[in-house]
Amino acid sequence: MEENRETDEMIESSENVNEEVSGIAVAEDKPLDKNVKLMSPTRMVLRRFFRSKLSIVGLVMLAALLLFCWIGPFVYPVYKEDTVDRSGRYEYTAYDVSSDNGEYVQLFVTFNNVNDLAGPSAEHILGTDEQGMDIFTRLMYGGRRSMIVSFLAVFLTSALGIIMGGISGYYGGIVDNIIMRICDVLMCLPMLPLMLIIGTVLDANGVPQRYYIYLLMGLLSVFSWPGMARLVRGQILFLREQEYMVAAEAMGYSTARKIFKHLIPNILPQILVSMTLSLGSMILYESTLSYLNLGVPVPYASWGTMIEIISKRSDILQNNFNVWVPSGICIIIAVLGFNFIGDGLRDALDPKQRR
Amino acid sequence: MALFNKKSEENAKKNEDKHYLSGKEVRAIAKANAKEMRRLEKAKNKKVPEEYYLAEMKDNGNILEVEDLHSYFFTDQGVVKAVNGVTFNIPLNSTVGVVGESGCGKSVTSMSIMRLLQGPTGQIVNGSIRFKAYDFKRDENGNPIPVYEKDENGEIVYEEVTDNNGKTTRKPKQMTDNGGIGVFEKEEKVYDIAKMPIKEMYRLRGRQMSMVFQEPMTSLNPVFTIGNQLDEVSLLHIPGATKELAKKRSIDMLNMVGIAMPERVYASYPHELSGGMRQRVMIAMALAGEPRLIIADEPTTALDVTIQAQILDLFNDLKKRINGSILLITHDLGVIAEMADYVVVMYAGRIIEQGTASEIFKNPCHPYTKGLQKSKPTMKSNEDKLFNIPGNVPNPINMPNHCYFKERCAECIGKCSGDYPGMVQVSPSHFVACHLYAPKED
Amino acid sequence: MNEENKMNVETTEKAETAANTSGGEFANFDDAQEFEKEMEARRAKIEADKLLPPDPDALLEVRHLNKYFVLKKTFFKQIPLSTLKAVDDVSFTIKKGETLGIVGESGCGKTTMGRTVLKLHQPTGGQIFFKGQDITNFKPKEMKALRTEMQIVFQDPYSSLPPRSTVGDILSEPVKVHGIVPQSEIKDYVMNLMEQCGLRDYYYERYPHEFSGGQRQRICIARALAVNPKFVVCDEPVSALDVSIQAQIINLLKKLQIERQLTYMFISHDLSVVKYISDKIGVMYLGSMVEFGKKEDIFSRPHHPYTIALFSAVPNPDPDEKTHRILLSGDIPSPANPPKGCKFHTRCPRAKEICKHIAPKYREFEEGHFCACHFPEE
Repeated sequence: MEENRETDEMIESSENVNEEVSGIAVAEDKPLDKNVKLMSPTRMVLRRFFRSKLSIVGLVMLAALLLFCWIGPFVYPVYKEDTVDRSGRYEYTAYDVSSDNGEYVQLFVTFNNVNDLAGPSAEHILGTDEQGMDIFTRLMYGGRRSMIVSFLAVFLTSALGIIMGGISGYYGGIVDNIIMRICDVLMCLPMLPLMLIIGTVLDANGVPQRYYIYLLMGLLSVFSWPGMARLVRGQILFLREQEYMVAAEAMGYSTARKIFKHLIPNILPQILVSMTLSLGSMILYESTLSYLNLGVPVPYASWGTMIEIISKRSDILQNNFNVWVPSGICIIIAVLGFNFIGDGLRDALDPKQRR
Repeated sequence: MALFNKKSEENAKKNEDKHYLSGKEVRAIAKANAKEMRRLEKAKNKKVPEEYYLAEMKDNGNILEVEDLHSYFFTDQGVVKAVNGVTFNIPLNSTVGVVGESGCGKSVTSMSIMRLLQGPTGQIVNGSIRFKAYDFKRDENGNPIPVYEKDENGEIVYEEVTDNNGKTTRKPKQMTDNGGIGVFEKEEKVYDIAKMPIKEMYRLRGRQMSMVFQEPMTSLNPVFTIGNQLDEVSLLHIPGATKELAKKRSIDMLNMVGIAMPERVYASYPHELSGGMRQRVMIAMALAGEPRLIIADEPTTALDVTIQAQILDLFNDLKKRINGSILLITHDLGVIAEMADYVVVMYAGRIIEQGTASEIFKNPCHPYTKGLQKSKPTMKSNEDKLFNIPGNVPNPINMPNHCYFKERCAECIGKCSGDYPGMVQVSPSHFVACHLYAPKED
Repeated sequence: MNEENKMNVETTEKAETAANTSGGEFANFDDAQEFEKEMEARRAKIEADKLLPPDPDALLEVRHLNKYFVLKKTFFKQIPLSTLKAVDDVSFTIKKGETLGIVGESGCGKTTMGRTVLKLHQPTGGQIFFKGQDITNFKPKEMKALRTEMQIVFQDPYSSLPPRSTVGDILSEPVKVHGIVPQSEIKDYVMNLMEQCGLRDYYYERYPHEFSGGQRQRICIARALAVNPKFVVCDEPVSALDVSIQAQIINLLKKLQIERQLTYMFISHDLSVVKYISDKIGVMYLGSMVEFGKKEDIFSRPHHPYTIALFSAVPNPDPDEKTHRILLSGDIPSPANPPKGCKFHTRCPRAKEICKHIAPKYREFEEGHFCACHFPEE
């Protein structure tokens, strides 16, 4: 009440403007403003993220998968990644091999104590594969490897994409033109045949097979940054026109400050969304490469490698679902989970929806 | 990730000073909103018989009566009472101006009248909007009933009609008006728009009431020619209209809004026209259905001063020529003064003052109206210091039950902390919601 | 439509060589020799002006400033096919402590001009003197020091603040970068600044999106003032705001001007606001300054027909008083393809034949009152 009287007087009398402004400031902090509580930025993001049921599903799926792969081996430490179960029945197989002219006969006796292709049981929750290794355990280790490889590939892709896109978008002109043409060329390359060829080249040069997947995924990232670069470039082109960037220019900030303090933080959400979405596709790539026998070799596990066997032995494809279905399901869960979360994040972080 | 950590730290800090909503509050709001929204959405789409939304006008001289309208937005931050008990009338053949600052609910009022609020968050919660429609009379099948030509004796005139198969039949001849458009029987009906199912609104939109939007750049579809878009209105709203007829009408309309070369504009695409031309086309489109009510939502705000003058001139000219009323919504007092017969001043979702234009401009009563007029420098004024209303336009969430303007008011009295002031009649047509003018209680 | 116009102009040019109405200074504009001579004289004037010493009284002096944007280039030859003359031969001076108001409609180049004098765009031609220094060809490094002297406030308070920084970050960043005060005093300095601009101290931790337009505009003003500038370009600072908030911001700008001896260039399309705040006014149309002078002169004795029409177009907030309005016919031509001769002739109520051919000279009518028109209102 009293303050109102004050402002009243101040306005009526032509006192200097200074006090009037402080009068405004006093008036601003009155109950009406206090009545309106805002949502904090974090809560707003979370609220939008959790509004969609799918993102919750995705989150649960991924959390379960991550726990399974990293905590799982501690909870279920019965087998190691490459432990072969030799508790199987001793099987003797005798082969007669007679020479061509029938002069002598040689008897081969092989015996096998490996518990291979066992069905699900108390000892092996999901049974064993054709090597007699525990599938459940290998799922965990395989998951670790698949996901780590994908994470690394996505980070490499994004780093390259952000740098190239950032340069291209910020400097424009001839630099932009060159980078974008490189992008065009790279986008023309068929990835899978290229990987097959490179695989052959690696093979010919005697590179050990367990490094294949890292090299190939690395190369894959080197070839697949254009998507990220275009996203970053587009965003930067848009942000560069915003008035706060002109203000930064008018303030005389250095180029580095403008890029790293003003541009990158503002495109981070989009980058995050794009990275999440591409994680799914990277996991698929890893599996595909492993399936094509370019992945980690057998004693080591990865989800793709675990499926690979069905390309060699059709009897397993037909009879032993427990060998290849679990890893397939894991791949599906991982890819779906990343996509759901990516979609949810896009809804949550998209500036167009900001209120 | 660092981004999130930083934010959550700050969040934790800020939750202490209660500037932000807590998780509990957010969930409570969301739950309450979801329930209300579901109920209102259901009501909006329910099929009801026509009798349910037929109404009676309080005063037959009005074309539109808005009574105690409440339109809310159910947002995550709480219920925004964008329109909170608005009552006003639009008399026939007059211009009513609604003026107010951003967020005062003036656009939401117009959207409510057109039933264009974006559901499910935006909903008409309460109140009635009675609109006197002058629509085609329809037979049981929903077809309009034509008026037949009669000779001197009152006998219906018949004519020979040859259909596509070459068969000739004798049919009664339909009357046509000067434009060659068939005449149908019409009747006056009063609808309560707030109760109408959303599917029935097609009867009114475009034909009975139409809208001119603020942004002429985005209100026209860029992939169709102007002619295409204009013809569509005629084809949709005039029974039995042919393409030739629609084109003729469209060109007439373009002529009417002062476009010098209507044929050329008819064939061009929106991007080929300037802002002023586009706004003229928008007005032509709004007029094409011969509506009885035109809602102009900030029609000149996006235009330059000299173009704005042209459009205002056009409106003033059209006012005399069309048989309908205009609801003009703007924040510019100057525009209102030029155009409106009656003025409604809104603040934070409520009407605080209404009256004829000269009453509002010559004898403003509410401190807010006075302040608005004083805080805009004019071309004539020469004062040294500009009057300003302190504080900010409030966001109408969780409003208290006292005068919403109290915090910014320079003429506040003790009573202002009490209930929200009711409407006080100052003169037969002048009302104000302010305790200063309340009759003495004794 | 424009193409046709041009054709028309050209044909009439050929046909009507003899019989013409007399106009202003060049009675014989149809005489090619005469015409060429006049043009030569104008070019010579521009060259001669280049050598003049800067005006010692002026804080900012702009001479024959041009800013052209190249719209189309051929792929092989780097010769522009069409240029947009956003600012075309504009000259003016601002003295210390004055406010220059620039009015004009959309596309008249007022925003581009505001940014060009701050060297946010590199001018295509002409000279800019700031404090007697020719800054036209300053390199970014040299400009950095000057950034603390000249600042800008933008129209849109929503896009002019970085959305992911707190108010405190936004305001302290320039102070840090330019080393205005020692590191330890930055917070106090910013708090003091916020108070001057009518911002509460607890806003320091908040994000821009939590504020209304008026408060955001205060933040923008505080940011511009954080480096203690002498000269501020206000690019439509109140156009996006509500009427009651507009008045607050205008009063704030006035108050700060007195406190800090600021010089403003106030760009707006709202004549009444410009009239209220300015000492001098420049009216722009399609990239050219058509009239420039003291506020009182311009409002009491406008010379240019565009200025007169602009004044009469402002809606009058008095319902009973019907002012006679001079309606300009037609639309504003595209700045990429402006009419030949006087740019205003297509809409001018008093255009004569000469206006279609020769651009009028920018003349000084009375002390400090300039106008570019063949037939000015006397």
